[in-house]
Amino acid sequence: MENIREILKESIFEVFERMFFIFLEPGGRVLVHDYETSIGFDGPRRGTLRILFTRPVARLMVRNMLGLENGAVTETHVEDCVKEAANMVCGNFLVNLDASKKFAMSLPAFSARPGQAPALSEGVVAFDFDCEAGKMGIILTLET
Amino acid sequence: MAFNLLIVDDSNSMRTVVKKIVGLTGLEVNQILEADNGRRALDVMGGNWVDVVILDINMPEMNGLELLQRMSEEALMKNIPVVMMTTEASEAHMKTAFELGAKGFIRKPFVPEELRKMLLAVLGFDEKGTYGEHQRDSEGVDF
Repeated sequence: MENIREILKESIFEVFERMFFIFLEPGGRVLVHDYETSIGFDGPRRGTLRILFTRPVARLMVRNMLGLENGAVTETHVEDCVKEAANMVCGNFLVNLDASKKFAMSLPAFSARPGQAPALSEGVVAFDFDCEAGKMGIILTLET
Repeated sequence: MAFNLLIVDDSNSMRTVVKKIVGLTGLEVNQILEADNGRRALDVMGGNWVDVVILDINMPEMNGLELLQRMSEEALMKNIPVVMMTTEASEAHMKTAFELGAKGFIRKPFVPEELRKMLLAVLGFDEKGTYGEHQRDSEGVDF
Protein backbone atom coordinates (compact mmCIF):
# COMPACT_ATOMS: atom_id res chain seq x y z
CA MET A 1 0.00 0.00 0.00
CA GLU A 2 2.94 2.33 0.68
CA ASN A 3 4.07 1.94 -2.92
CA ILE A 4 0.59 2.89 -4.12
CA ARG A 5 0.65 5.98 -1.92
CA GLU A 6 3.91 7.13 -3.49
CA ILE A 7 2.69 6.47 -7.04
CA LEU A 8 -0.53 8.37 -6.38
CA LYS A 9 1.32 11.30 -4.84
CA GLU A 10 3.74 11.54 -7.75
CA SER A 11 0.89 11.33 -10.25
CA ILE A 12 -1.03 14.20 -8.70
CA PHE A 13 2.11 16.33 -8.35
CA GLU A 14 2.95 15.81 -12.02
CA VAL A 15 -0.51 16.71 -13.29
CA PHE A 16 -0.94 19.77 -11.10
CA GLU A 17 2.50 21.16 -11.85
CA ARG A 18 2.47 20.55 -15.59
CA MET A 19 -1.16 21.29 -16.44
CA PHE A 20 -2.30 23.71 -13.75
CA PHE A 21 1.02 25.24 -12.65
CA ILE A 22 0.05 24.56 -9.05
CA PHE A 23 2.66 23.27 -6.61
CA LEU A 24 1.14 21.15 -3.89
CA GLU A 25 2.46 20.43 -0.44
CA PRO A 26 1.19 17.90 2.07
CA GLY A 27 -1.37 19.62 4.26
CA GLY A 28 -3.67 19.10 7.18
CA ARG A 29 -6.95 17.20 6.91
CA VAL A 30 -9.92 19.23 5.71
CA LEU A 31 -13.39 17.87 6.27
CA VAL A 32 -15.44 20.19 4.08
CA HIS A 33 -14.95 20.82 0.38
CA ASP A 34 -16.97 22.64 -2.25
CA TYR A 35 -16.46 20.42 -5.29
CA GLU A 36 -15.84 16.77 -5.86
CA THR A 37 -14.91 14.88 -8.99
CA SER A 38 -14.61 11.13 -9.16
CA ILE A 39 -13.57 8.54 -11.69
CA GLY A 40 -13.71 4.76 -11.59
CA PHE A 41 -11.25 2.31 -13.07
CA ASP A 42 -11.33 -1.38 -13.78
CA GLY A 43 -8.68 -3.88 -14.81
CA PRO A 44 -6.01 -5.70 -12.82
CA ARG A 45 -7.10 -3.45 -9.95
CA ARG A 46 -10.54 -1.91 -9.54
CA GLY A 47 -11.33 1.23 -7.63
CA THR A 48 -12.40 4.84 -7.50
CA LEU A 49 -10.41 8.04 -7.37
CA ARG A 50 -12.04 11.11 -5.82
CA ILE A 51 -10.57 14.59 -5.76
CA LEU A 52 -12.05 17.23 -3.48
CA PHE A 53 -11.49 20.93 -3.94
CA THR A 54 -12.27 24.16 -2.18
CA ARG A 55 -13.60 26.94 -4.44
CA PRO A 56 -10.39 29.00 -4.44
CA VAL A 57 -8.31 26.03 -5.56
CA ALA A 58 -10.76 25.14 -8.32
CA ARG A 59 -10.82 28.74 -9.50
CA LEU A 60 -7.02 28.88 -9.58
CA MET A 61 -6.93 25.70 -11.64
CA VAL A 62 -9.25 27.22 -14.23
CA ARG A 63 -7.36 30.51 -14.28
CA ASN A 64 -4.03 28.79 -14.79
CA MET A 65 -5.22 26.23 -17.31
CA LEU A 66 -7.22 28.59 -19.50
CA GLY A 67 -5.50 31.89 -18.79
CA LEU A 68 -8.69 33.55 -17.54
CA GLU A 69 -9.13 36.41 -15.11
CA ASN A 70 -10.93 35.71 -11.84
CA GLY A 71 -14.13 37.40 -13.00
CA ALA A 72 -14.28 35.32 -16.16
CA VAL A 73 -14.29 31.95 -14.40
CA THR A 74 -17.67 30.19 -14.41
CA GLU A 75 -19.02 27.07 -12.75
CA THR A 76 -19.04 25.41 -16.16
CA HIS A 77 -15.30 26.07 -16.48
CA VAL A 78 -14.78 24.62 -13.02
CA GLU A 79 -16.70 21.43 -13.76
CA ASP A 80 -14.90 20.81 -17.03
CA CYS A 81 -11.51 21.62 -15.58
CA VAL A 82 -11.71 19.48 -12.44
CA LYS A 83 -13.14 16.54 -14.38
CA GLU A 84 -10.17 16.75 -16.73
CA ALA A 85 -7.89 16.86 -13.68
CA ALA A 86 -9.43 13.63 -12.38
CA ASN A 87 -9.02 12.04 -15.80
CA MET A 88 -5.34 12.97 -15.97
CA VAL A 89 -4.48 12.05 -12.39
CA CYS A 90 -6.21 8.67 -12.68
CA GLY A 91 -4.66 7.91 -16.08
CA ASN A 92 -1.20 8.80 -14.88
CA PHE A 93 -1.64 6.83 -11.69
CA LEU A 94 -2.67 3.70 -13.60
CA VAL A 95 0.18 3.97 -16.09
CA ASN A 96 2.65 4.50 -13.27
CA LEU A 97 1.10 1.58 -11.37
CA ASP A 98 1.55 -0.85 -14.27
CA ALA A 99 2.10 0.41 -17.81
CA SER A 100 1.93 -3.09 -19.24
CA LYS A 101 -1.68 -3.62 -18.16
CA LYS A 102 -4.89 -2.32 -19.70
CA PHE A 103 -7.24 -0.44 -17.42
CA ALA A 104 -10.62 0.97 -18.38
CA MET A 105 -11.58 4.32 -16.90
CA SER A 106 -15.10 5.64 -16.52
CA LEU A 107 -16.08 9.15 -17.51
CA PRO A 108 -15.45 11.56 -14.63
CA ALA A 109 -18.40 12.62 -12.49
CA PHE A 110 -18.76 16.01 -10.81
CA SER A 111 -20.69 17.36 -7.89
CA ALA A 112 -20.79 20.84 -6.40
CA ARG A 113 -21.90 20.41 -2.86
CA PRO A 114 -20.21 21.11 0.41
CA GLY A 115 -19.69 17.74 2.00
CA GLN A 116 -17.62 15.93 4.52
CA ALA A 117 -14.66 13.87 3.48
CA PRO A 118 -15.32 10.22 4.25
CA ALA A 119 -13.79 8.41 7.16
CA LEU A 120 -10.68 6.49 6.28
CA SER A 121 -10.81 2.71 6.25
CA GLU A 122 -8.88 -0.26 4.96
CA GLY A 123 -8.24 -0.11 1.23
CA VAL A 124 -8.44 3.69 1.22
CA VAL A 125 -5.48 5.95 0.48
CA ALA A 126 -6.03 9.63 1.22
CA PHE A 127 -3.92 12.74 0.92
CA ASP A 128 -4.57 16.34 1.82
CA PHE A 129 -2.68 19.11 0.11
CA ASP A 130 -2.10 22.80 0.50
CA CYS A 131 -1.35 25.19 -2.30
CA GLU A 132 -1.27 28.96 -2.73
CA ALA A 133 -5.06 29.11 -3.10
CA GLY A 134 -6.11 26.76 -0.33
CA LYS A 135 -6.72 23.11 0.26
CA MET A 136 -7.66 20.01 -1.65
CA GLY A 137 -7.76 16.30 -1.03
CA ILE A 138 -7.55 13.04 -2.93
CA ILE A 139 -9.04 9.71 -1.94
CA LEU A 140 -8.25 6.42 -3.65
CA THR A 141 -10.45 3.45 -2.83
CA LEU A 142 -9.20 0.08 -3.99
CA GLU A 143 -11.50 -2.90 -4.06
CA THR A 144 -10.07 -6.15 -2.81
CA MET B 1 2.05 24.90 -45.94
CA ALA B 2 -0.91 25.73 -43.74
CA PHE B 3 -2.88 22.77 -42.43
CA ASN B 4 -6.29 22.10 -40.96
CA LEU B 5 -6.36 20.51 -37.51
CA LEU B 6 -9.22 18.69 -35.81
CA ILE B 7 -9.13 18.44 -32.00
CA VAL B 8 -11.38 15.72 -30.58
CA ASP B 9 -11.78 15.85 -26.79
CA ASP B 10 -14.88 15.98 -24.62
CA SER B 11 -13.24 18.58 -22.38
CA ASN B 12 -13.79 22.10 -23.65
CA SER B 13 -10.93 23.23 -21.41
CA MET B 14 -8.55 20.72 -22.93
CA ARG B 15 -9.50 21.77 -26.46
CA THR B 16 -8.83 25.38 -25.49
CA VAL B 17 -5.42 24.47 -24.09
CA VAL B 18 -4.49 22.51 -27.20
CA LYS B 19 -5.52 25.42 -29.43
CA LYS B 20 -3.30 27.75 -27.42
CA ILE B 21 -0.39 25.34 -27.57
CA VAL B 22 -0.79 24.86 -31.30
CA GLY B 23 -0.63 28.64 -31.62
CA LEU B 24 2.74 28.53 -29.87
CA THR B 25 4.25 25.90 -32.15
CA GLY B 26 5.05 28.37 -34.89
CA LEU B 27 3.35 26.15 -37.43
CA GLU B 28 1.05 27.75 -39.95
CA VAL B 29 -2.45 26.58 -39.13
CA ASN B 30 -5.22 27.36 -41.57
CA GLN B 31 -8.18 26.18 -39.50
CA ILE B 32 -8.71 24.52 -36.14
CA LEU B 33 -11.85 22.40 -36.00
CA GLU B 34 -13.28 20.86 -32.85
CA ALA B 35 -15.45 17.93 -31.81
CA ASP B 36 -16.40 16.70 -28.35
CA ASN B 37 -16.75 13.01 -29.24
CA GLY B 38 -16.02 10.57 -32.05
CA ARG B 39 -19.43 10.80 -33.64
CA ARG B 40 -19.21 14.57 -34.02
CA ALA B 41 -15.66 14.17 -35.33
CA LEU B 42 -16.95 11.97 -38.14
CA ASP B 43 -19.44 14.70 -39.05
CA VAL B 44 -16.70 17.33 -39.05
CA MET B 45 -14.40 15.21 -41.24
CA GLY B 46 -17.28 14.50 -43.59
CA GLY B 47 -17.75 18.20 -44.28
CA ASN B 48 -14.25 19.65 -43.99
CA TRP B 49 -10.72 19.03 -45.21
CA VAL B 50 -8.70 17.75 -42.23
CA ASP B 51 -4.91 17.30 -42.37
CA VAL B 52 -4.36 15.92 -38.88
CA VAL B 53 -6.46 14.83 -35.92
CA ILE B 54 -5.55 15.13 -32.24
CA LEU B 55 -7.69 12.55 -30.49
CA ASP B 56 -8.58 11.78 -26.88
CA ILE B 57 -9.61 8.22 -25.94
CA ASN B 58 -12.00 8.52 -23.00
CA MET B 59 -15.09 10.28 -24.41
CA PRO B 60 -18.86 9.75 -24.32
CA GLU B 61 -20.95 8.45 -27.26
CA MET B 62 -18.00 7.32 -29.39
CA ASN B 63 -14.56 7.06 -27.82
CA GLY B 64 -11.23 7.60 -29.53
CA LEU B 65 -10.52 3.96 -30.30
CA GLU B 66 -14.00 3.52 -31.80
CA LEU B 67 -13.40 6.59 -33.97
CA LEU B 68 -10.08 5.16 -35.16
CA GLN B 69 -11.89 1.96 -36.11
CA ARG B 70 -14.51 3.90 -38.10
CA MET B 71 -11.85 6.02 -39.81
CA SER B 72 -9.96 2.88 -40.87
CA GLU B 73 -13.13 1.69 -42.64
CA GLU B 74 -13.66 4.97 -44.53
CA ALA B 75 -11.62 5.38 -47.71
CA LEU B 76 -11.60 9.17 -47.42
CA MET B 77 -10.55 9.17 -43.76
CA LYS B 78 -8.19 6.26 -43.26
CA ASN B 79 -5.12 8.19 -44.41
CA ILE B 80 -5.65 11.20 -42.16
CA PRO B 81 -2.85 11.11 -39.56
CA VAL B 82 -4.08 10.80 -35.99
CA VAL B 83 -2.17 11.70 -32.84
CA MET B 84 -3.63 10.15 -29.71
CA MET B 85 -3.69 12.63 -26.82
CA THR B 86 -4.66 10.80 -23.69
CA THR B 87 -3.88 9.85 -20.15
CA GLU B 88 -4.55 6.22 -20.99
CA ALA B 89 -1.04 5.64 -22.23
CA SER B 90 -0.56 2.04 -21.20
CA GLU B 91 1.35 -0.20 -23.58
CA ALA B 92 -1.85 -2.12 -24.25
CA HIS B 93 -3.77 1.02 -25.21
CA MET B 94 -0.94 2.25 -27.42
CA LYS B 95 -0.71 -1.10 -29.19
CA THR B 96 -4.43 -1.04 -29.91
CA ALA B 97 -4.30 2.55 -31.15
CA PHE B 98 -1.37 1.90 -33.49
CA GLU B 99 -3.03 -1.22 -34.84
CA LEU B 100 -6.07 0.91 -35.66
CA GLY B 101 -3.92 3.41 -37.54
CA ALA B 102 -2.80 6.05 -35.04
CA LYS B 103 0.49 7.68 -36.06
CA GLY B 104 1.58 9.10 -32.72
CA PHE B 105 0.86 9.19 -29.04
CA ILE B 106 1.17 12.05 -26.59
CA ARG B 107 0.43 11.66 -22.93
CA LYS B 108 -1.49 14.25 -20.95
CA PRO B 109 -0.30 16.43 -19.35
CA PHE B 110 2.24 17.53 -21.94
CA VAL B 111 4.35 20.57 -22.64
CA PRO B 112 4.12 22.60 -25.89
CA GLU B 113 7.42 21.27 -27.23
CA GLU B 114 6.13 17.70 -27.07
CA LEU B 115 3.05 18.57 -29.12
CA ARG B 116 5.10 20.59 -31.60
CA LYS B 117 7.48 17.69 -32.21
CA MET B 118 4.61 15.26 -32.63
CA LEU B 119 2.71 17.46 -35.09
CA LEU B 120 5.85 18.15 -37.11
CA ALA B 121 6.58 14.44 -37.32
CA VAL B 122 3.16 13.20 -38.36
CA LEU B 123 2.68 16.03 -40.85
CA GLY B 124 6.05 15.37 -42.46
CA PHE B 125 7.70 18.66 -41.51
CA ASP B 126 11.32 18.89 -40.45
CA GLU B 127 12.39 20.57 -37.19
CA LYS B 128 12.35 24.00 -38.84
CA GLY B 129 8.76 23.54 -39.86
CA THR B 130 9.62 23.00 -43.51
CA TYR B 131 7.49 20.51 -45.35
CA GLY B 132 9.38 17.94 -47.37
CA GLU B 133 10.71 14.42 -47.55
CA HIS B 134 11.09 14.31 -43.81
CA GLN B 135 11.99 10.93 -42.33
CA ARG B 136 9.55 10.21 -39.54
CA ASP B 137 11.72 8.98 -36.75
CA SER B 138 10.49 10.78 -33.64
CA GLU B 139 9.61 8.81 -30.56
CA GLY B 140 6.06 7.53 -30.60
CA VAL B 141 5.62 7.99 -34.33
CA ASP B 142 4.72 5.10 -36.53
CA PHE B 143 6.97 4.63 -39.57
